[in-house]
Amino acid sequence: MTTRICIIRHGETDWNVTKRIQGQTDIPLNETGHGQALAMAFNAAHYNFSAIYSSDLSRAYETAQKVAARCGLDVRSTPTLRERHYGIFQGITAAEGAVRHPVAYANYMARDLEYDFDTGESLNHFAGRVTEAIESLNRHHSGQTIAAISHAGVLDVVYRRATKRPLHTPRDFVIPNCALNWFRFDGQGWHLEAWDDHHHLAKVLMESAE
Amino acid sequence: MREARRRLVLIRHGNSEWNLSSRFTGWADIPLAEHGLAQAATAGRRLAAEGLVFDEVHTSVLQRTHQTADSLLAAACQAAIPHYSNWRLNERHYGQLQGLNKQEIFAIWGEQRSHRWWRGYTDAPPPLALSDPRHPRFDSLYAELDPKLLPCSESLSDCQRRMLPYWHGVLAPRVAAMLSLLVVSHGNTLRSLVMYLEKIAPDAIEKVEIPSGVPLVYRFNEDLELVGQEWLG
Repeated sequence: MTTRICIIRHGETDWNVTKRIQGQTDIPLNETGHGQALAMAFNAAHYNFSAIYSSDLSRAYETAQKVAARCGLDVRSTPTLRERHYGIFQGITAAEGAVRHPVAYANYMARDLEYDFDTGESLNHFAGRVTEAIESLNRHHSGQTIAAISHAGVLDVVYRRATKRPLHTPRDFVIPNCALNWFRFDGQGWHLEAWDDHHHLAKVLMESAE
Repeated sequence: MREARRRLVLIRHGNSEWNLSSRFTGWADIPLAEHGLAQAATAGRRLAAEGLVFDEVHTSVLQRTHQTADSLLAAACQAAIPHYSNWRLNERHYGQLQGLNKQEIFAIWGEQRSHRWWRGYTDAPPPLALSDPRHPRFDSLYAELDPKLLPCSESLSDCQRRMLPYWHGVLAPRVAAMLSLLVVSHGNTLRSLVMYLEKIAPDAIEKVEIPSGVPLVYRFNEDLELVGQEWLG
C-alpha cells in the first residue's frame, strides 16, 4: 500500500528574516509568510488530500489553516511535528551563539548527534521523534495522500532518511518556505518523490503555457 | 443552491498549438489544439455534473477563449447563453517575446532576465515597436479601440491594471446582481484577477499557477468578499 505525504515548511517569519533561531519559540508568520502560504494553498488545493496535519506552533498552524480552508478540511495539530528544541540557542542568532556559547556553537556547527543545547533536544532524540511521527501518520493513512505542515528541521530529517544521507553531514540542500515536498512510503522504506515541487508543478501546468 | 448564487467560475483556455511547442503567445491569436478542445469539453461535463448553470459567458477577444467557451458550454448543454468578448480579458501582452520559444528567448536575453519577465510582477518584456506589424494597432480585432489603450508589452502589473476595470465595471456588478458567470481567460490575466480577489502579495504571486481547463469556482457574500473557492479538477 503506497502512502504519500506532502511535507511543507511554514511561511516566513520575522525571525527567519533576522536569522534568529526559533526552535520551539512560538513566532507567527509575517506578511510575506502569509502571502507565501496563500499562494502555496492555491496550488496545493489541486491535490485531494485526505487529511492535513500541522505542528502546533503558530507559524505552521497558520500556514496549514490556509491549505485546509482551500481543501475543506480541518487542521489536525500535533506537537510531534514541532521544530527541534534548540535549548539555549533559541532566541539568538548563530553569530550571537558563537560569541556567547562557543562550545555549544562548535557542537552546533559539527552537527553533534548527542548535543542537546543544555535544555533542548539532541539531533538523535529529535530524529527519533520525527521518525515516530511520520511512521504514525503513515500507519493511520495507509494508501492515502496527506499533507503535513512543519519545519525546516523536520524536513531535514525526513529528506536525509529518504535519500539515505547521514544526519551529521553538513546540509547541502535548501529548504524553502512553503514548497511542496513529496515523500512516498511503500513498505520498502521512505522515498523522496519531488523536492520543492513549485518547479515540478510549474512545469506541468505552465511550461506549455503563457 | 440559492445561497450560492453570488458565484463566479474562472477557467483558463485549453492548450493551443503554440502552448504545445512552448511558444509565448500573448496577444497572438492562435487556435486551440485538439487536446485543448477536449480539455474544455471535460470541464463542461464536470460543471454540468456539479449542477452549475450559467447566465452569461465572458471571454477575451482571442479565439482560444471563444473555442474553449463553445466547447465547454456545448458539453454542459448550455450553448445558448449570451457571450461577451472583451480585450481587457486578453492574455498579458508579451511584447517581443511573442512567437518565440524559451530556448530562443534565453539565447537572446539570458535566463535570469527572462524569468523575471514571465514570473515577476513588475517587469515588462521588451516592447514591440509601433511600426512592428505584430503591434495590435494593425489588428482589425482592436480597430474600434482608442490606439492609446493598446500595449506594446505588459508586465503582470500592467495586465492587472487594464483587466481590473472589467472586474469592477462589468463582472462585479453582475455577480452582485446574482448572475451566474463563466469567465474564460488566460494564465496571466487570471493570475492577476486571483491576486486581486484573494489579496495575494506581489512577491507571492509568482508561485501561483493557473492550470489549463480546470474550473475555479468562487463564491461571494453580499459585500462581494470571497467566502469560498474550489477547484473542480
